[in-house]
Formats: sequence, structure tokens, C-alpha cells
Amino acid sequence: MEDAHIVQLYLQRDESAIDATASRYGMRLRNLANSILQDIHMAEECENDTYLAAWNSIPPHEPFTYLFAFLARITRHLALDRCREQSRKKRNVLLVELTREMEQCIPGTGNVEGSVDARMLGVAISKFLREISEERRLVFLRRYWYMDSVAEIAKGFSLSGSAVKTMLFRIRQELKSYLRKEGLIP
Amino acid sequence: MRADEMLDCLEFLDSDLIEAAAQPPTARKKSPFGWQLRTIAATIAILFSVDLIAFVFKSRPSDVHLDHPSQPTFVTQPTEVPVPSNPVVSEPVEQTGEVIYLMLDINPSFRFAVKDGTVLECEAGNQDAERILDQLELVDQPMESAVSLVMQALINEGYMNVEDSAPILLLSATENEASAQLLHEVLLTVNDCVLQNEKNCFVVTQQITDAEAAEQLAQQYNTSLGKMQYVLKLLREETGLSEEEASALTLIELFDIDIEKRLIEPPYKVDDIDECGERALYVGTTDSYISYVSWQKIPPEEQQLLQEMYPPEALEIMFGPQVWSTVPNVVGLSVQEAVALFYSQNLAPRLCYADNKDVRITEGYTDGTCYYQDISPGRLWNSQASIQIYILLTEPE
Repeated sequence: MEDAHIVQLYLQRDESAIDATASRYGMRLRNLANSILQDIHMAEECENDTYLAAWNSIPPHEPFTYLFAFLARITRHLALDRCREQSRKKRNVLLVELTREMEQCIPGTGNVEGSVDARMLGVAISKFLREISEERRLVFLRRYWYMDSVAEIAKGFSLSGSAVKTMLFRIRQELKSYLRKEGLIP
Repeated sequence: MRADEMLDCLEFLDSDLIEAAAQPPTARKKSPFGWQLRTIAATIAILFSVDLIAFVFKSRPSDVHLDHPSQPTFVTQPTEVPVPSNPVVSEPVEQTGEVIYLMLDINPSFRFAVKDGTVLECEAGNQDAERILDQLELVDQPMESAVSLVMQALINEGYMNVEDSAPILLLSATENEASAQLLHEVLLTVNDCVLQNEKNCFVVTQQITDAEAAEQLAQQYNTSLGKMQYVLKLLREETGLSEEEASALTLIELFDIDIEKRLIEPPYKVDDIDECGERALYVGTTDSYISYVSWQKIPPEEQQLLQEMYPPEALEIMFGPQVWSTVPNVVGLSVQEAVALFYSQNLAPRLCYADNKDVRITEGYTDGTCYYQDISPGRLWNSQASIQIYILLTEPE
């Protein structure tokens, strides 16, 4: 079923929208959650919570042309929240690693506390990503949006692990310069 | 803003970007030459191969041209042939009885006819090369000695002294069963000369498949055969350049196109932080190797960092004489076995421990075993280069 049709079902408050969504995107959403949580049961819960959140947010949202991105955002958000909850109990290696990497994109903790709207930053990062090559963009997104491991990215892009890490390092450095140039970080 | 909030704000990336990256990548379409980059060093016979082994000691601004430094001092005395610090591991060039033509281009352009590892003839491709060859007797010399003499002359003449840059040295050989190995031998000699003289240089090696056609074009555009071959390789990509325009570019400009088109991996720059947060002191391409300066030249804080990352045995290897050897296959071995195997090959691996929650390609491996190595087994690698092995560790420390 096409995205537009599924969204239409949501708008009509037709519960078959959930089944249609699960059938079309369930596995991808579950995989995304599992990438972050590393726990298939929690990933399944996240997937179900995503459907509920989608049900509650369409309308007012009408993601006719970007349904997957819309759902994936919810899944990622829910998974990160759960991941942080888990981290309080036991350190999550992936989250710690990714957080450390992202630290390199900002000047230091606390420096711009509250000064930048996350949405504005998202727009700026989108703009930055459009300026770099497709391969670098995809590698960045697979790592920091879909949270793939370096080894998975290396395999998928036929690069060495070192090359991926170097590429990511350089993108982070460039992103930092870009955000600084845009006045979003000091 | 905290780093985890930065991670959160990616949520607001444009939908089309998220959609475009939604599918996990399948194997990337490689350049028709990409695989050859890796195979030439292993001396596998191939139809056309281009390999890059680059070693630089400083970063190289892309706008620097390979012009000769102003009025270099010409040394009239024959220069001492540097003894390769470690001719080691590679096999002697196979005695095939066939003549191989080997070209060395940096700006002066040389062409050697080599048979069974001995120089039969040496021609200058331009006036700069002619001036150098006038001072040298290369015929009947072993190829290694001849290349050492030429390299030393180039260094003495100032061709390797381009300020704040690393010149491009192009090594080409006509395709032949033994030419890949000859190229490798010459590369080691060049490497030794460069390291011993503390110079910077990118070295690109290539084999020439259709020498006749390339030669005709080289004559037409008044350039060397080696450079013409390099131009032809680049023009197979969409560069927007004609043969004539590309032939007029300097080697550095051609090399920049090479990097831009990703036919080779872009080199690290000094001060880049490599994987695991190690600062690149002087480095080559990610596809070749990372080298280290001598221990004494490393600032104390860098020494401390390396001491934390590597045991004394590894540091001894990394800062000892450069040795080339074949990377062993350690996947599936215990960490102790893997490390011992690397040390026996004079290579110092960096150990990366990973929770299998982080890396999900570890099925079939038990805790404490190596499940991945970032440099493939069978490749020639040098002792001063970075190489990582990944050890499975289910429970994070």
C-alpha cells in the first residue's frame, strides 16, 4: 500500500492503518530500534509504541510524502529514550560511543546551553549534509541517525573500518566548522 | 548543549535525507580500479592496476604546484647510494628474461629498461632528467641501486623540497608478469630514500597495459609515457577535461583529481585524529599506511598517549627500522595468538575491544577472539603502520 493511502487511513481513523504500516515498515522500524537498543524485545515494544504515537499524531500531521521518515523519527526518539533509561542501570556502549563522537561537533558541554534551538540546528545540519558528497552523507546518516556500527558501514560501503572512522572524523570536524560559521555554536 | 542533545537534534534532519539513507548500504560500487589498488602490492597479475602507497610527513596544500624550487644547488659529486634500511621481506625480482620499461616521473622524467633486475638502458624524458643522468652511471647497475642514485640526486637537486607540500612521484611499468614485483621493489627503495632523507612524497604506482597507444598520445601532447597513462586513467572518470587539457596539468593537480574522484583514498593530514583518537603524526592514505616519526621527535604528551595505547613490544616494533611483511590472518584466533602472530611478522597491532552489542557481526566467535582485522590478510604492510584487530568482549569493561 502506498504511503499516501496509509496516511489517509490514519486520517480517517481507520485502525487498518496500523496493520498497513506494520506490513510496509514494521521490519525497518524494528531494526532501527534494535540498532539502538540491542534488544529485540524492547525493539518490538518501541515499534508498537511508534504505531501508537503515529496514531495519536496523524492528524494533525499529514506525512503523505514522508511517512517512513516520520515514523522512523518517532522510533529513534523512543529508542533513544529507552536506551538512556537503560544506561542509568548499565552503561550502554553504543550510546556512550556515539555521544563521545558527537561531542566533537560542539565546543564543549555547557557552552551553548539552551542557546540553540534543536530544530534550527537540525535545519543547519541538513543544509551541511546537502553540501557534502552523497557517500559521505550516507555514511554520516547511517552512523548517527540509524546508528549502524562502523563495521556494518565499512562492510556496506566496501571501505575499511579505518577509512570509515576517518571519514566520520572529518565530517564531524567540518560540521563543527560549519556550525561555527553559521553562528550556531561559538 | 550536551553531546547527547546534539544526537537528539538529528531527529530534525530533513525527511528526504533520512529516507535516502533508510536502506542499509549494499556493497558500494567500486571504481574499476579500486580493487586493483589493493592487489598490486600483493603482486597479483592484473590487466591494469593502479596502487597508491603514499607517505607524507606533513600536510600538502592542494594549490601547490610541482614546479622546481628556485635555482637548486647542483651537486657534481656522485652521491652516496643510501643503503635501504630494510630491504627485508620482499622476494627478489623474478628472473624472467623479459625487458620491463619502468618510468619515474616527478618533474624530471626517467625511463629505464630493466632486465632481470638490472638496468639495460636509461633515458631522460626531459632536460631536467638529462642534467641528472649526465652525472650518473646507471647502466648495468641493479635496479635498486639505480633508483637510489636517481632518488638521491632528486633530493640533492631540491626536487623533493617543495615547501609545505609533498611532491607526487609517479612510478609506471609496462605490464608484464614481473613488473608488479619490480614496481614494488622500486617502491621500497624510494620509500627508504624518502624516509632516510626525511622528505615528503606521495608515490603513485601504475602498470601500463597499452604502451603503444599511450606512447603515441604522450608524443602528441609532449608529455611522458607514465604521466600520459595516469591522465588516461583519470579520463575514464567524468572529469570534464580533454586529453590535451589533462596532459597540461601538473602531477599534483592530477593527483588531486584522483583523490576527488575517489579512485584513491584521500590522505590523512598531520594533526588529524585517527581512529581511537590517535593524532596522525605523519601519514599516508587510509588505504596504505600510517607511519610514525621517531620516538625522540614525538612530543612527551604524544609519547604518553602511545604508551597508554601500546605495550613496550609494540612500541619497539613501531619505532624500529621499517619492515615490510605480509599481514597474517588472525580472525578466529585468541588475542594472545593473534598478537604473537603479528609480532612474529614485525607488525604491531592495536587492540580494539568491542562489546558484541556494539558490533553485530560476531556470530560464531567467542569472547577474547579476534573477529575482525582492518587490514586484510595477505597484504604487504609496514611495521610503522597502524593496524587494528578487534577482539570480541561480551561484557563491556
